Amino acid sequence: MLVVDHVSKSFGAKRVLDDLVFAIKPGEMFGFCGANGAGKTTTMRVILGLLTPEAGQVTWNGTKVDREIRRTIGYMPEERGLYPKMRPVDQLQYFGQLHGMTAASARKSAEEWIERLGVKMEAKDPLDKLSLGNQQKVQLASALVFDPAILVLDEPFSGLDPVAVDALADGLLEKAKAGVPVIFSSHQLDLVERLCDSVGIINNGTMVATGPVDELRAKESRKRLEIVITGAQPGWTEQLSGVSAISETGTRALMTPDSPEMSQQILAEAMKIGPIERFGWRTPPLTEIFREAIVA
Amino acid sequence: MSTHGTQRETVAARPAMSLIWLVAKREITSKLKDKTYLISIGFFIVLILAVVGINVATNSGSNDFTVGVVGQTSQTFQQAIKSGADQFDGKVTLEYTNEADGKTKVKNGDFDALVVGDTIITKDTLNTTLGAVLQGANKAAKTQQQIESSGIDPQKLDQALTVPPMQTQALNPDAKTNFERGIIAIIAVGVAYGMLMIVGQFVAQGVVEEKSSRVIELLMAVVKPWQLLTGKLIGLGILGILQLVLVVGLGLAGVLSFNLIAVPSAAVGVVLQVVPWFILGYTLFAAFFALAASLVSRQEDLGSAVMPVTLVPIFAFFAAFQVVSSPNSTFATIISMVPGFSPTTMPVRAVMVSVPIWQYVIAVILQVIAIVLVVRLAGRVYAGSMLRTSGKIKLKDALKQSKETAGTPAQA
Repeated sequence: MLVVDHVSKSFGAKRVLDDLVFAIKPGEMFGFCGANGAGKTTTMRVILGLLTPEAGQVTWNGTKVDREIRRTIGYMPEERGLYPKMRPVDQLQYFGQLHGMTAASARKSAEEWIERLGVKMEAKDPLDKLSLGNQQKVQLASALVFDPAILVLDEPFSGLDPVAVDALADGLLEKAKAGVPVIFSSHQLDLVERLCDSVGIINNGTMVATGPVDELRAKESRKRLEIVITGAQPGWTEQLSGVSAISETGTRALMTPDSPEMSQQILAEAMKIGPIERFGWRTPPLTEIFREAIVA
Repeated sequence: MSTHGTQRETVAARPAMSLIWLVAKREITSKLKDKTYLISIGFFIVLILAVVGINVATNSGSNDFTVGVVGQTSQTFQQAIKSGADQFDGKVTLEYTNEADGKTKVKNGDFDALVVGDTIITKDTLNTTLGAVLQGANKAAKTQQQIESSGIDPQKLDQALTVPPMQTQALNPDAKTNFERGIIAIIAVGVAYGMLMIVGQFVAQGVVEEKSSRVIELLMAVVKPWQLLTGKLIGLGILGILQLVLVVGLGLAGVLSFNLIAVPSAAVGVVLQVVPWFILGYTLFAAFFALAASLVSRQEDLGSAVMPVTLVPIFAFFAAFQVVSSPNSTFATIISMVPGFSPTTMPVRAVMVSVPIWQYVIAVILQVIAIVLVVRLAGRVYAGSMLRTSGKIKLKDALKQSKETAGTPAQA
């Protein structure tokens, strides 16, 4: 288990991470969400040992993460970084070797990952001849090439087309299935929702919500009512009492009851308007959970 | 290094030396695949070959002449021509002809000159060497003729004209050769340091490239800054020495095999003195380049950052001139042991005067200590400035920052 254990980090007077705590289990896909400047990148840099925290530590299976463990972490930095003039296969082999592989097995793995992620290029092309999307795939391959024990990816999906996103997501899910904890940050919450078992929402350097996606959802789930009434006339929601934050779109409307217990009373009122096509608590999308968590 | 119970059994930890060597190897192979680099080396080789080639073309046969002669020549004249030509390391072929044919051949270049009685006919100007040979031969032949016709006994005349040459005695017979050796050493140092400037630039560019392309973040997770810098210095250093050997060796081989200039035998020993010092000097200066480059994050800012560093080898080179002019002075003794200056001054001093072993040892030890310190310092600056993406960072700030980032020497 990878544990970020009460980590604090400041840059000058600015506190970027404030007693941050969370854990990622082996085989877990962990989506790391937060607004810009919330502390996601700093957290990842602390995990990679690129920044030293003032307080707290990061542990892996109970041992403080040191250089030896760090060697087994696959990392994709926010600011992408590879040698522009080097051929992708050569650089992937190089990173494989730096992480402890032999030249031959690093080469083989490099070629396999280029093939798997569908990097389109001429064999002789240096990296900077590739399109940005393909460069990004090579960047991800550099985190995967040495068969990492932990994956830390900062915005791995940004700037990718849907096909590339799927190829990349498949690669990550496969790793997770093999027991590797995968932590990635993203602003694409729908993607996080689709891929992740757990999410962590960071705001101003502290975790404001963390846990399995379903659990977080359950907390929020009895908040918004969704009602669809066949043939309802515009303005029909005005006939309902004890609700607020109404958004009416045609025969469908979303609203927040004053309390969850009022739902049956609202149902009775709604039945008077017309035949109920649909009535129930709406499953909140992650975006909503995210907003709630950040505002709270 | 301790191993932890992770599931990565197949992947073994790399010891520091292996990491450094990997970095060095990447520097070498990527430079050898870099077209700009190969073109610049190719240019050097072509330049050297051209210089040697031109010299061979103009020098070989330049002392070989064909001279047309109208009429008879005496044996004395022929002998004098031969010995005169030998003196100039050349050959003069005489061809007997008539005046009309001879002039035609002079015009179209078959003859370098045509001798008609007391006149030398040439196309334009007379080659000075050929002129001297012809005039000398003519003088010898005419003198012989005049002596014979005057009735003087040639043997007695010979005796009367023979004077033993003056003896020479030098009060300081080694002074000039020592000075010559010093000059050769200076030239060798100069060539080596010209090369050093190029390789130093490579080091600086390489450091900045990793920062501007942000690949540094991936590297720092597995390699310590000093290991990365050391690998860079070794890789580019090997390349620099190969380059030096290639360019200088090619030039020297060309010069020697075609006998273009006389290379004093002392030169070989002098060059052998310079090479190990070049390695020590290169490492320190290149580390300085790396240090300066660590302070910036973009190629555009590199020039102003490395400027002060380029002055160091220049001062060191000028110090070497001081040593040539007075190798026994206190200045020479001290400066040849000062780190940074010893690589230029010690070999020059050592070929001119005998240097006590202990001074050698001190010079080497101090230089090595300086190298280690500068590499470590550069490593810290590198670590401190790695997460910067723009502008130039002050040395003090970088060192302060390095305490907050990983991979500093203090950290395991």
